Amino acid sequence: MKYKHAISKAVLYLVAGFISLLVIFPFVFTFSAAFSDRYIGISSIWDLIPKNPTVNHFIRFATDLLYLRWLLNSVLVASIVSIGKMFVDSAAGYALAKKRFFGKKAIINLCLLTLSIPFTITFLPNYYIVKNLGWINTYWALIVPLYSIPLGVFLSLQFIRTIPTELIEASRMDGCSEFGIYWRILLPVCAPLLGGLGLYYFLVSWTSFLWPLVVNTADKMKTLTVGITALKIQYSPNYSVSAAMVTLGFVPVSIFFLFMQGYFKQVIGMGVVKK
Amino acid sequence: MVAAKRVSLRTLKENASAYLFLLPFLLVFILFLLVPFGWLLIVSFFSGSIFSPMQKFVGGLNYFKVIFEPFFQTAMKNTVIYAGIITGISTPLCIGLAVLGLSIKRNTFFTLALIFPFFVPIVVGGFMWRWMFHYDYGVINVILTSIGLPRLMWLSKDLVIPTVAGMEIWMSIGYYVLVAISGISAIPKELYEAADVDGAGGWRKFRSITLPLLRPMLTFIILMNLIWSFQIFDAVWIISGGGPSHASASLCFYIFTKAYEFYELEKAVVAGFFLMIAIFIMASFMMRLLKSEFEY
Repeated sequence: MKYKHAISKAVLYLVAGFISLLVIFPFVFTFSAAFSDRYIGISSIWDLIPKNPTVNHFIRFATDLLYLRWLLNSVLVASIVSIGKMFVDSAAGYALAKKRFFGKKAIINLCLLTLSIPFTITFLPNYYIVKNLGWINTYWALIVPLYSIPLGVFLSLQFIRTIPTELIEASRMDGCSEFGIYWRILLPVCAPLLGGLGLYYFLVSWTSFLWPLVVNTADKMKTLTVGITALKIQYSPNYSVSAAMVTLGFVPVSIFFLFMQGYFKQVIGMGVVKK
Repeated sequence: MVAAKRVSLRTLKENASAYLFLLPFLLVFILFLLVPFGWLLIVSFFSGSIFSPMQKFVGGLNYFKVIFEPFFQTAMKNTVIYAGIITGISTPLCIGLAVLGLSIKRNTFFTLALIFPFFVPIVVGGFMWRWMFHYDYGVINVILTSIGLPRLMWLSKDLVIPTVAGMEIWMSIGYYVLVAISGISAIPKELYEAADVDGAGGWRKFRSITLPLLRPMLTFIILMNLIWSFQIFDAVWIISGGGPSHASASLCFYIFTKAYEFYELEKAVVAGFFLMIAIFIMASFMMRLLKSEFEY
């Protein structure tokens, strides 16, 4: 009986391991190509191990100032968007969840309605607005329009609603200012919410492609996704070079990802499961 | 009298502080979402081009033009197929993977591996897949021939939609697996213990306890899948470019090419509104679901 149990356990681990490898296979494949001198296609699965391994392609990009600038742009923009949005959205969510004021219903309904506007169509008027503001080829163009996404406000509203109003009333009685309530009472309670918002907006900004492609055309102001796509064409004859470029591009996000992994399980079920 | 005045002063104060908290969001929301939206709504009733929209008022003509256009019909049909394939495969798959993940003790590597593609820009993911799908050198065809199967033209007319949908599933499955894991682990252990006492087997427990209790979460996963796959664009753009000859064009792809390649802004806008209505219907189902409290 025990013997049988151990076997079925081992089978489960094997299956799980196989599936994991299958999912990360594209990364393994790209990684191995990046280390080979010149990739000319593989004829069997053993060709995945590079024959004459080299790190030249990596050095080429790690010392390329333009490439580093793109990396910096992407990380900087994603960080500013995610950190700023945490505060902006939780403040708006607080007002909508706990305060009574004129026009509250209208604002909530507008947020809900605009949640389903596809980005593909607001794109064009937004381009004109950014252009008229003189923001083309600036960080403003990459950062500010993302602050209009209403999803985080809605999630904050849902989350803050579950926080007992007595907590807020009590601190108001103790003479805490309105901003003090938000800053010292509400924000600490909202830690899981803030983590979720930060993660979400970091991803939205980090993976965005079309918007940065259109608004920032100057070489120095490109983000990594746009830059990689532009360079890819130039290097297309040698896949190894492109593979190194792509590999370097997902290293920072992997670090961020390992750093944030504790948050995932807590955050991802948010709104789905009531604990 | 004094009391009434005090109350109105208090509501005024509360109004003011509420709007102060809302101000940063509202400013950007109005400028970059409401104003563009209103502008688009007006544009959809005029004829013109992307360079000079609103030349002549045409009423609802644009809406009819779009509905009867073959390209739009293809795009609409493809979008429904994409949504069907992605939702149909992704939902049972993520439940299965979540059950697998929960049945092994150390599942950190497993869940991390599954969600990793979710964090990679689609430009990067698409770039890798394009090479893997290559007819002669692509690693997928190499594996197929090494186990004795014929090479496949992954980006040909018949296979391109499943190929793009497959990549989309690869990118998003980890998210749903984590949702399913958190949903399944919220089911009280006592129910399973009671079932054990009654002598129920694994499949019986899954069918009689897990599945019924997961219904709200399943609905959430299905709706999220539908909402996201209705907006499929990046994967199409990068893997197949909508081709061959619109065979893989999605609704968002239609919108984008109409606006930025054919400069027929009003058609793009109208199609955008159709898409928005479809998403809105699905989203309102989801909102109702999120509002209802789940009790186990």
